[in-house]
Amino acid sequence: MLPVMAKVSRLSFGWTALFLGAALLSSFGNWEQDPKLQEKVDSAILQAFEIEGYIPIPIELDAIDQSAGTPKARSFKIMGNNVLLGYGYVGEAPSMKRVFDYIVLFNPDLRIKKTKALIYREDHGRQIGSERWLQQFISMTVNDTPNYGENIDAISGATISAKSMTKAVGKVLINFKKYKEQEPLN
Amino acid sequence: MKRVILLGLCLGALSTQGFSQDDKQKQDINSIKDMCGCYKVTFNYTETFSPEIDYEKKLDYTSGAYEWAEAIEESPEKVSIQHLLVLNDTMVIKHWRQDWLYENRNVFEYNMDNQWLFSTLPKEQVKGQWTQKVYQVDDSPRYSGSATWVHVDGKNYWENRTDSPLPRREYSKRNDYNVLSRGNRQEITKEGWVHEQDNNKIVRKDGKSDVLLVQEKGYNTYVKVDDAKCKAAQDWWKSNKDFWAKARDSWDSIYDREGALTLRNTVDDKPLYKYLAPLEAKNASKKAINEVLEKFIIKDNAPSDGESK
Repeated sequence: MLPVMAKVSRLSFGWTALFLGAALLSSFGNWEQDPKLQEKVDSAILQAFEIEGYIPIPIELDAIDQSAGTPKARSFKIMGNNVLLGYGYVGEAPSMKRVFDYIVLFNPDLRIKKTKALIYREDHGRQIGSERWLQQFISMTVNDTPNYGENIDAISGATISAKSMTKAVGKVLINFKKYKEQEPLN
Repeated sequence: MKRVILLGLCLGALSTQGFSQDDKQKQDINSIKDMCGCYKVTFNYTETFSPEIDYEKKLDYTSGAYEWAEAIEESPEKVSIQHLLVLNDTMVIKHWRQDWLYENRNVFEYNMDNQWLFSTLPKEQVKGQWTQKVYQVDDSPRYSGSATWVHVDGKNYWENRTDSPLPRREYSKRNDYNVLSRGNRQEITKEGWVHEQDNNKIVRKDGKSDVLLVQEKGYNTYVKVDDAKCKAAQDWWKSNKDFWAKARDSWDSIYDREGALTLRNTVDDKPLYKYLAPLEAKNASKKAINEVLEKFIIKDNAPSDGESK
């Protein structure tokens, strides 16, 4: 939680915004207690949106990663200077023997801005971190479906993780489509 | 009779050994001096492996120029080579300097935050070795390291690992790492020489273990060309070598220390080379150079004030 708050304070949002951010963050749950993951989430968001600070506002989405047995999935609006910058989703997906953490970032119109693998816990299949491969998801909308081996290239030697990432992004898109249908976008 | 033969054998062995060491030192010097001359240089760097999957590799860096390398000081224990870049045939930029010192014990090692630690190596550790000391364009320190020149199987090379500040190509562009652990390998080739690097970009914090951000391969080739291609640099050095001899003297007095040397990056928002340029133009005195250099030295216990950026 701290890295985000430190960055937020630089934006001079004022004490009200800080208090609100802190309260919301504290309701986020598990993964904020993982400083390494928190740092990587912050870094991914700050770099992708080219900002110095942000406030995450949790939103309700179906639990995408329940099939992987994880309670860590989180979806949120990304706010900066009281403006909606986009949306984010941090989740886990299975690799060959373990799970990896990933993030999907959206523009305000729910078009994918960026996807990243954040923490990977085994030696095999690390190619899914390749920017060249991940950029295939960029600009997909909630009406698109990523299909491994079709509109998403297969990766030799990383089939399980690459398929898993493709499937996870597909589920994120479906869930954000439902969200879009339920909530008018700002 | 037996004693005479034994003594003769011992003396012979000693003599052979002595000749061999001397011969090796000369062979080393020849390799070092093989880096002198006019070269077409290509600089190539690419980031390779990162322990973290989310690290986004930066774009490759490639560049090229002609470079004149001149031995400005030479003795059996020291060869100093000044490198000068030649751009567009006429524009000359004073580049790096490499000093090679035989069985040298006084070295400096980069720590972080523009600080170098000066120390003395044990005599036995540097036996037969050459220290390479590398300096910036303004003759401030960059990095140093000691190792043995190797001449085997027709190859002639020297390699060493040492810490340095960020390279000039990334100095003002990046702040996600603060120490470059450089794996330097300089090999003399038929065409000239190759400076190969296996670098680690490191995040260093006080009291914490170093963290590797990403590794990098550097492959800089120096292909020998006609000296005429570097005429502008040769002329430039003739005109400016007296000034830089004084600058080296001034720096040498500063380097004569044990412990830390911390330098300011800027004074009044200007880097050191901008202060030295006008002094170079008028071939200023050593006293004037000393006055400028002193402004850039952070004294022990002095706060790193706002001038340092």
